Amino acid sequence: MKNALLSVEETAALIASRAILFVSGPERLLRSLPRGNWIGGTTSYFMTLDGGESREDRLFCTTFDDAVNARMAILPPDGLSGLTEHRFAHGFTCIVTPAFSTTLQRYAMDGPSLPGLYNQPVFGWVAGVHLDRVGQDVPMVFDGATGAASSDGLAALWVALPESAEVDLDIVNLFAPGEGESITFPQGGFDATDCLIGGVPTNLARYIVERGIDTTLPLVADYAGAMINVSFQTVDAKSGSVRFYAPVMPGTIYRLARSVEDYDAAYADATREGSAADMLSCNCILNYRYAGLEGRPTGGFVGPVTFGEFAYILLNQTLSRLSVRHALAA
Amino acid sequence: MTDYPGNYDTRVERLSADRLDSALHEGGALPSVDHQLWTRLLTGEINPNIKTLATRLIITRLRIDVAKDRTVLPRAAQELRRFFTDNKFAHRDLTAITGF
Repeated sequence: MKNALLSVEETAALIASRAILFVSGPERLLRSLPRGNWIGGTTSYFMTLDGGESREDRLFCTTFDDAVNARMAILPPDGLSGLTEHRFAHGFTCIVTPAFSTTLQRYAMDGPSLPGLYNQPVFGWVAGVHLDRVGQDVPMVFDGATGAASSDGLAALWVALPESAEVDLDIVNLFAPGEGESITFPQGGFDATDCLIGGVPTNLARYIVERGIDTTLPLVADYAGAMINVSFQTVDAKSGSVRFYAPVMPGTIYRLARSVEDYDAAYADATREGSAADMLSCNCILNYRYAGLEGRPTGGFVGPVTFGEFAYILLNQTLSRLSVRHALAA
Repeated sequence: MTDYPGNYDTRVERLSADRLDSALHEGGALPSVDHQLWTRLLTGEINPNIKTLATRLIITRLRIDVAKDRTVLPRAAQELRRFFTDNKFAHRDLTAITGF
């Protein structure tokens, strides 16, 4: 696996060499690429070795040089079961779907229950736009094999690996549950009104506003040891409604996250086990904004900055990372 | 004497890593689908130290299903057991799970 921030010409040359690629960048550049073995999605933000940066003239390209085969497609919102049906016997799947799309909503709710989802790594991210053009530009995904582009589909790249290769998919979440009351929801979804806080029926929006709670910090749930965030999109005390960037799940205990004291140190800690530059990563635009990651390195992790991340399921304010390693020859 | 841990732990410890993988592939070295281990795991009665992200997520997804409707417990146990027989990468979590 090789990562690089490239010009259109350099990316086109890689495609011409029949490389298998996962590409991120501005729509104008993605539309100009030739057909080939790639999928892509829009973003204007990247993590590089020099730190986070916004670029309109570069594409972030990950070449899967370990791959022995690949196939790609854009799945419609009602065809997400194809994600696990079309994969190879040994390998992994990369996905990208547009922010604000029906497909994203559908995958967030139904994806966790896809048969066999957890049998093979599913890594990916949510395509976005420049923050100054939210509501004007539309996030897009691309299937390089056909040249198709979509504002409401899930682009999937199924990668086959040799038996000697092992894939590792994990997350780096800097947030942990705080000491506050437990929060549970009677119904799942991207929107919430009433919930139980410390077991007491409460309107979440008014609770947040009355207490001046910092909604740049997410809700966090403990998923059998994995800390999973749900980030706040809007809080409207007047209507009593809260909208999230990922769905809350009924039967799950959430708590407001405690603050992160030192982002630099936390990312550095996360890279101690290996070279982050050899992994494909994506980090959340909310971390980029709230933690001020522009111009600041993130422990060597490189990749697109995105409107949501996937490590099997949809994640918020989380760094997702994928690596491939080979067993040593006997 | 409790039902668990019992003979199962001893049997696993005697197997080499390769034989364990082979036995698990056949489903032979795992507790049967109606063993109380699965119930305790899927109701949150036990919380072993799981390392693998996929294992953490499937256990949580099945726990949510079971919390909503207890009658799906047998199907959830079957799905989780199948996950371990099908996926060698998850075998490193079995030591933690069977240590209770």
